[in-house]
Order: sequence, then C-alpha cells, then structure tokens
Amino acid sequence: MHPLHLLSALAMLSLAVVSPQLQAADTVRVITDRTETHLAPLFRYYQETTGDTVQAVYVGKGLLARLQAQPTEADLLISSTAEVVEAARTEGLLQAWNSPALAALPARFRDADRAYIITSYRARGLFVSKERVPVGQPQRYEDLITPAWKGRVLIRAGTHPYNLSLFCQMAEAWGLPRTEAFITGLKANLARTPKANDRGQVEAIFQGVGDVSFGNSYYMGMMLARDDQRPWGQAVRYVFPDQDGEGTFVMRAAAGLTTATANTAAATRLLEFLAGDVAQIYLANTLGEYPINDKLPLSDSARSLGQEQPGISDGRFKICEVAVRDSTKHLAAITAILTKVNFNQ
Amino acid sequence: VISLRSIWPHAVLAMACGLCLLPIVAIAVTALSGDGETIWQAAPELFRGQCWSSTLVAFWGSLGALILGLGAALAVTDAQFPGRPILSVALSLPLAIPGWLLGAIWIGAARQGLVPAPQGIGAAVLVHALTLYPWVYLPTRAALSGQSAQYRDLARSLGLGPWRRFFQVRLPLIAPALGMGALFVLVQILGDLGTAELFGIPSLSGGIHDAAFSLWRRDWAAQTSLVTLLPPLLAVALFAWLWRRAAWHNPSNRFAAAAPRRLSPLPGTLLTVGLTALLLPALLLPLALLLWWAWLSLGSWPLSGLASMTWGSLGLALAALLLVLPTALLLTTLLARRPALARWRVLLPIAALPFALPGAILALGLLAAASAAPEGLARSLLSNSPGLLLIGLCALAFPLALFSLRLGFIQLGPELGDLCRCCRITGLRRTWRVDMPLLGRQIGAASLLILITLLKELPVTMIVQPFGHQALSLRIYSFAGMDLLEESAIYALVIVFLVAIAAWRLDRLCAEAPHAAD
Repeated sequence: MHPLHLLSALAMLSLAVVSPQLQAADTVRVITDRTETHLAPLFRYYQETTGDTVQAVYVGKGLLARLQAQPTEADLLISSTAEVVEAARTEGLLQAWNSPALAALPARFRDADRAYIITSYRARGLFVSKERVPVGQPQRYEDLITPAWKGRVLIRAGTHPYNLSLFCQMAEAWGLPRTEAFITGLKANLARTPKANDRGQVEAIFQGVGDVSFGNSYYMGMMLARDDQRPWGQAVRYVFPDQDGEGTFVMRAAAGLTTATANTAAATRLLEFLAGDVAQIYLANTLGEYPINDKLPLSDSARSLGQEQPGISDGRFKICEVAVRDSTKHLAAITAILTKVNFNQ
Repeated sequence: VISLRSIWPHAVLAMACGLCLLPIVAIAVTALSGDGETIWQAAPELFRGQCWSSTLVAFWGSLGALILGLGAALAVTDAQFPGRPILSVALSLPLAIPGWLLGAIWIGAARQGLVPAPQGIGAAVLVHALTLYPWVYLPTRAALSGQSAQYRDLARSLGLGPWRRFFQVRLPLIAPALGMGALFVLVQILGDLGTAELFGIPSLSGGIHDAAFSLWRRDWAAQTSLVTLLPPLLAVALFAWLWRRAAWHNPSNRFAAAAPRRLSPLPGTLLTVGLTALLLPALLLPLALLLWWAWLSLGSWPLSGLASMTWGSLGLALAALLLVLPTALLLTTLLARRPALARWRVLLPIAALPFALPGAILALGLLAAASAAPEGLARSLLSNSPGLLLIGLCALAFPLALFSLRLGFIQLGPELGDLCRCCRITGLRRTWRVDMPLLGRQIGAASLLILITLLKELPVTMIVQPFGHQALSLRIYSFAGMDLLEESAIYALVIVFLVAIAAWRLDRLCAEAPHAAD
C-alpha cells in the first residue's frame, strides 16, 4: 500500500474514533404538518448544539398522502395530530425506534410497538362566555346536548382532525351509541353551521353568536398575547370538562421514524431530543402545550387555565386516557355518524 | 414508408397528450380502487350539499366576473372619460390578489370595524367576482380593441340601433374571448379551497381535502375529484368549440381603429367614480390595509427570509416557464407547419385538463402517479420532490403557453409558410428568424400569464413542495390560517407587487390591438 494511502486511512480512522461530534454530523430529513414558525427555531438550536443538520418540509395539508407516495423521502414524521402518525403506522410507513431513552417514557406517551412517541399534548375543552354563563357550567361534555344549551354551542367542522380525534376518543371511552347520541345532540344545539377555526369560535362568543365552544387549550394564551384577539380571550374562561368523571380528552402531537433507513440513528437522536427537557420546555412555552414530562413547568397561560374549577391546580387537569391506536379504529364509524347527521351543514 | 423522420412528431405529440392525461388516469384508477361504499353512497346529503354550494358559488361568481369584466372592458374601449389611461391599467391589477387572500383581508378589516363582516356564499361569490374579473376584462378588451370600426359603421348603415349593434354585431365577435375568460373563471372557482374555507361554506374542493387529508379516504377524494372534473370537462369542450370559432375571425385584415367616444362631464365623472368603486374593495382597500399592517409589523420583518421566499416563488415559476415555453413552441410549431398532424390538435383540450383540476386534485394525482410509478428512472424522477413540484407547476403553465402560441400561429396565417418556403427559410432557421419575432406578443403574454398564475399558486406547492423550499404563498397561507394578518402583510405585499408588475405588462400587451402583429 502506498504510504500516503495508509496515512489517510489512519487519519480517517482516528477522526472517526476520537471525534464523536464529527461522527454525529448527519442530516435528518423531517416531514411535518406543524408550522414552520414554531418548529424552525427548535431545529436551529438542535443543529447548533449537535452538529446534525435538520432539513424540514412543512406540509400544511396532505402529510399522509405525501408520505404514502414517497415513503422514504423523510427520516422523521412529526404531526400535530397523533392520529396522522398512527395512520402512517397502520399503512406500514413507520419503523420501530430503538432507544432506551424513549423506552423509558411513560407508556401513555409511546406506542406499544415503538412506532412513535407523543411529543406534547393539549386539552380539547371548552371556551365559555364569562358574561352569559355562570361559573361551574358546563361541567361535562354531555351537558352541551341538554335543552339548556340549545342554540348556544359553537364548533369548527366536524371533519377537522381535532374534532375527529375528539369524537374517536369519545367512541373508545364511552362506546359508539353514547357518542352517536352526543354528536346528534350537539348538532341539534349548534348556534350556527360549523365553520372557522377554534379562535373563530371564541370570536363568535365575543360577538354573542353563541355561549360555549370547543377549543384546544393553547389558544387561550395565543389570543391573550395579541392585541387584536385579547378581547376575545378576555371574554371567556377555559373549562376542562368531566373532571368529576372520566376526564377531559386531549389532542396529542406525535413523531415517528419513517421506513427510510439511511439516517435512522440520526433521526432517533432527533426523536430523543424532542422528548427531552429542552424541547419539551420550548414546546410548553412557545405553543402553550403540555409537556410529556409532568415534572416540567407549564407556561404561564397554561397554568392560568381552569382557575375557577374545583380540583384544577396550576393548569393540571384529569385526562381521559385513550390510546391513539384504540381511538383511531373508530374513524370510519365516526365519519358515518357525522355524515348521517349532516354535521357540517 | 414509415420513417423515423415521419414518426417522431406523432410520438412527441402523443407523449405530450399522455403526460397531460397522467394525473387524470391516476385519479380514475384511485377512484375505482376503493373497496367499500362510494362517497355518494356513504354520504349522499353531504355530497349533495357540497355539489349545490359549489355550483351556486361557481355560477354566480362566474356571472359576476363576466358582468364586471365585460362592463369594464366596454367602458375602457368605447368611452373617453377622466382618468381613463390610469383606470384601464388599474382594472387589471386585482389579478395580483388571490381570492383567499382578499377574503382574509376583508375578515381582518371587519375585525377592525372597517367593513361589515363578510360571510357565507354571498361573500365567496363577491370575492371570486372581484379577484377573477380581470381574466374576462383583459381578453375582452383585447378583442374589442381588435374590432374594426368598419363593423360598427356597416351595422349603423344597416339601420341597427345601439343595443342591436351590440348584441347582433359586436357581442358575437367578442364571444370567444368573453367565453374563454368566463370559463377560465369558472374553472378557478371550482378549484378554490381557501375562500370556501374562510367563509365556512361547503365545497367539492373542501370535500376532497376532508376525504384525502382528514378521513384518509383517497378513493372518496378521487371519486369527488371525478365529479369535480365534469364541469371543467364541459368547460373545456365549450372552450374548444369557442376556440374553433375564434380561429375563423381574423381582425387583422383591413383594420380601421375605432376612436372612443368622449363623454360629457357628468356621465364621464360617473363612469370614473363607478370604476373606482369597483377597484375599492378589490384593490385599493386591501392594498391600503396590507400597507398599514406591514407598517405595524415593521420591526419584525424577516428580510433574509423574505428574500429567499421571493426567490423560491420566482425561481420555480421561472424554471417552469423555461421548461414549458420551448416545449409549447415545439408542439405548436409542429401543429402549425404539418397538416398531417391535424388530428393531434386534440392536445389543446387535453392539455387544458390538468389546468381545469383543482390544485389539490392535481397534487393528489401527481402523488398517486409517484406512488404507482415502477422502480427505475421514472420512480427516481417522481420521488424527487423538486421534480414533482416542477411537473405540477408545468402542468398548470402548459395550457397557458400552448393556447397563447397556438393563437399566435393562427393569427400569422398559412400564407407565411408559403412565403418562407419561397425564401428557402425552413426548420429551426424559420422558427428563430421568422416565427419567434412575429410571435413576440404571444410569447410575452404567455410568460406573464404563467408568472401570474404560478406566483400565486398554493395547493400544489403546499402538498408537493421540496425540502427546504420556501414560497411567499405558503407563508401567507400559514400566517393567515393562524389569524396573523399583520405578520403576513409584508409577504402579501411582495407577491402583490410582483404579480402587479406582471399584470401591468400583460395589460399593456392586451391593449395593443391584434392588428399590431401585422
């Protein structure tokens, strides 16, 4: 062997052995439906601290369709809706992660077959008018289908992923007949045809169109942080329903490894980072979501939620625990109910 | 004797037809591959509601755009009134604002108490009519400018009054331009998602999104897509029919320009006020609000991000333009020069099909094609995201280039070919030295139409965007979805500025009467 070749081989070997930083300098390709403004700073921090490069594509719509078409174009799938990641698992688009750190997460925050992890969550509770609804009402989701709430309930389209997730979880926790009765009763009590986003419902409460709306907990902080939306947020209080019963349902964000194998190790490292304290605190403070580590502090806005409710302390609430893979199997039945009652029209 | 020389034009045209049909075939296969109930069996009421709502919005929106576009074109062509030179250009500028953006701006203005809260089907119809009427205004104005004064003089000498002169003489002559514009508007309304979403109205396009992206029923999405394709298919058939009619009328012969009639002060002022009133909700108020919101968020302008997004939008649009224009030139040259290829004129309506698809459907078709492609070269090309996006954008741009150039060749007439043959100018030399200089106006118009369409494009870019790609429309949509209008204003202003420049240039090209090509 030529001495120069031997020298360069030795140099490369020594670099590989003594420099874990260089060894880790991989590129992870992420496909996500989360917004760029929220995730990009986190990825920048990750790049600066680890040397790994993160290339992301932010697909606002059609995440699953795109992954089905090009299963190996990304290493990591991140979604604001865990049901999307679960659907990717059932389609065979995910591979199991192999990480002791992730295996140590509480069982409710990881898939039983290690296909994905929950990265954060938020309550899907109720925004209630401070002006027109006395404190203590409503207490349960099902209060909203009683005659007292006729023409007072607001909600976005039933086929929106947030509501599909909510109804599917109800179907798993309550059973289908009770869920169907709930959806039918809810439709009958709506103040208007489902439209606009969660904040649009609170705006409608502010305008007097209705008195109660379904919404994710983090929207309260988002509204209060903006001059133009603060009056909406100040017009309502956030209620965690069913705190005396099964608990409030939550929306979960999730992430999993795709079947691409070129960067599995680097993608696993990023997955571990997302489950770690730094990312969890960032997600809690930036988005107002709940971290999967209960010991981490919540954001100020999350801590202020449910203050008037007995049993709610520091924004912590009782969750109705439903495994994502258990709830997702009801999607077809929920779709049938929604179309039967013509929910969106 | 079949030789390579005689076969290759057929092969090229057949391949072009095949590529244009690819997304539609993929959608049809997906629609038929469902193993359960069809969407209309599973959710008949939902489906009927979406059909009804989409039909209402498409009908009234198209009619509104037709009336506004025709009215504005007649006013600018026939009358001399204060502010006419400025208004004739300004009336084409609402092209710069996509419907979903105008809707979002109105909602933002209503929140600030500036206008009544827009809602429901009425608001959607108004937004579509106000943002899409320039697609009727521009071709109709060009057609009216191209009408020789001799037609009117002849009609007058036959004793026809003003109304009969308009309906019996002028309207039939501009009908192809008017019809093409209106059909283009119809297709765009049917494909719209953002505006329907904003105003909370059910739509077929929304149903496709729900089925594909919330319920994960790609078969339902494809089935709805096939239904959504029916009106555009009818539109394309009508378009082709109108196209043939347009080909009969060559206004370049014995042209005598008609001078606009000078209006007396009161009607002239009223017309100026009326046209300005049209621009107020469509352009002036939105622009003023965008400038105000951009000013409010001045401190947080992400200048570096803005530059890369602008380049991301502009770069891909230019790349698609560079790919599509030479291809369209080759195909239209073949169709123009070789009578034996006349049967391949079917390429024109076929090429219009992907354009007639809602963007989300086209994106789904591309994804379906990518997932169904065999391993190898095709697979590696389709799995490459920038390639897929470029294909999608080219599919949207292709008919615009094809139709503009075909119109140009028709206007050049068959005599030019004889002349070139006599002078022994053939092949590429003829293309370079004769056709291209004479087709300059059509090439310019096609390029501007492509830029205007692609700079505003959202659904295809959103679904098949490459890694690291940034585009202005994506950022605006993302911010608008989070009710962050102030933050999105600067991005919207950049896109409006770029499209307005293109719209202004297009307006100037359309203002030149076709006889100028002589």
